[in-house]
Amino acid sequence: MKKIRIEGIKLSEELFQLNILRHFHSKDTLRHFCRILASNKINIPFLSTAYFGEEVQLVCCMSAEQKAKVQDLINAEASLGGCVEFIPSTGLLSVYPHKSDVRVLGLSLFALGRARIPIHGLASSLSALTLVTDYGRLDEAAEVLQEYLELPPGQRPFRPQFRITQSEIVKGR
Amino acid sequence: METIAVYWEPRIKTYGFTKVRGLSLIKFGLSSAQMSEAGLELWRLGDAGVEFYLILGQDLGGQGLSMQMLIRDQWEQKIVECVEQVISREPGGVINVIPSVGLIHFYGPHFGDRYGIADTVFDALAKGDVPLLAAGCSASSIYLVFPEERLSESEKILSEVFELPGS
Amino acid sequence: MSDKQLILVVDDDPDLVEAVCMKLESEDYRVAKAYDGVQAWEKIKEEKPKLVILDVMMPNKNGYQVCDEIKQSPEYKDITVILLTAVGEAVTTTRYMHRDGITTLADDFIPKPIDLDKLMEIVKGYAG
Repeated sequence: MKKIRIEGIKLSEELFQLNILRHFHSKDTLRHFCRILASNKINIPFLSTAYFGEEVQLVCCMSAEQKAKVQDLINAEASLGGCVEFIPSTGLLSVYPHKSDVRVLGLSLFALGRARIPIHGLASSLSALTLVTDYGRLDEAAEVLQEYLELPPGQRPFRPQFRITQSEIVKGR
Repeated sequence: METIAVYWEPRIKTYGFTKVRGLSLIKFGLSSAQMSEAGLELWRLGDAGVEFYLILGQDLGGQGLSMQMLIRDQWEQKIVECVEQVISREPGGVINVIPSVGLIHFYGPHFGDRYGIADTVFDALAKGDVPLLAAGCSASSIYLVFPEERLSESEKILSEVFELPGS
Repeated sequence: MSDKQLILVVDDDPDLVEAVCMKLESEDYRVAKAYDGVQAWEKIKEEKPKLVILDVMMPNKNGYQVCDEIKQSPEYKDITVILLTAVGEAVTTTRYMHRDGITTLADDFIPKPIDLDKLMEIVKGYAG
């Protein structure tokens, strides 16, 4: 199997994952859920959701620093009770550029599946294919992927050294 | 190093919307045991030049992934055949194809680091009563999948809450 | 060999690189991409671009370092460098703020969040 050339693998800081499993009233659930997080200034760096009629299925990841706060907020919401599941320690692995090439997806699923590294979520963006896995296995996942995806010489998977935090939005300037 | 940013904007800035029509949304489930085999089959499809517009996957309670692939409708048959090969070996494997769907995707400054973007999207779409079929936010991009006939209406709703270049 | 000008876009945000490159290609430029300072140098040596759009805050080697190296190199000093500086007036704290793109050897700068149309105007001014 010939390796596919990519330009980078980016690894995230520690996150936690929240899953909403096949919950009814999709439109209002998602709106309500996102409003709770936004009004508490909580960023969602990863979100993947699909609709099945009137049901929604959602996974999203947030900073591990926010885990207790989000758990409290969600537990206080009766409308979400019973359909929410938490995965305590996850991380994002972004492979780029994917160039819309289905082989990048195929090799990523193949490599991680073969190594029995769990994939908790998946989403593509304009340039990157992002996979969610256990935070403790993020480096191993990056190593496994490099058996099939080739970085430029000397290039290593990296964690961003910079973080931009939004303190607020001021409307109407 | 951390940078603290305050965004002064009446509406959240974007670099513009991209709209795509003539797509199919293919939905299927993959168990953890099927992951590597499905990956191999999808890799093989690359030789046929199959490209995707969006890939999404959600955890099935630790048992695998619920997957959605958004592709040009010309690739629908090839993808369905490929996935069927894998999932038909286990009972209960189902593929759903939603034809004639459209995509709006956009990107904005530091979207990956900001709160309130998803809230703005889902609130506007809920108020506008537009049926969303799938959505993904990763890196700095937002991808939204709609029935094709509701695409223009969705774009109009979103353009009222997000700023487009030159608007 | 094409007579279209080659522009190198460097940023550690892959979606931003893609968005800028799509815009440049729609304006009939050729593009090359890099995602950190080290890759940027490799691409500069390999491809000798006419102009580099260079982010400041990047891993491995930051944009100021790359810019200084380009401008101090006899071979590459004529490459136009446009810096994408830290998030402009929106920023309240960053160690990059004091440089603000002005005291570097860069030919021009544009603050983030960038206005793509304004960036294209600047690029056309240097690369035609």
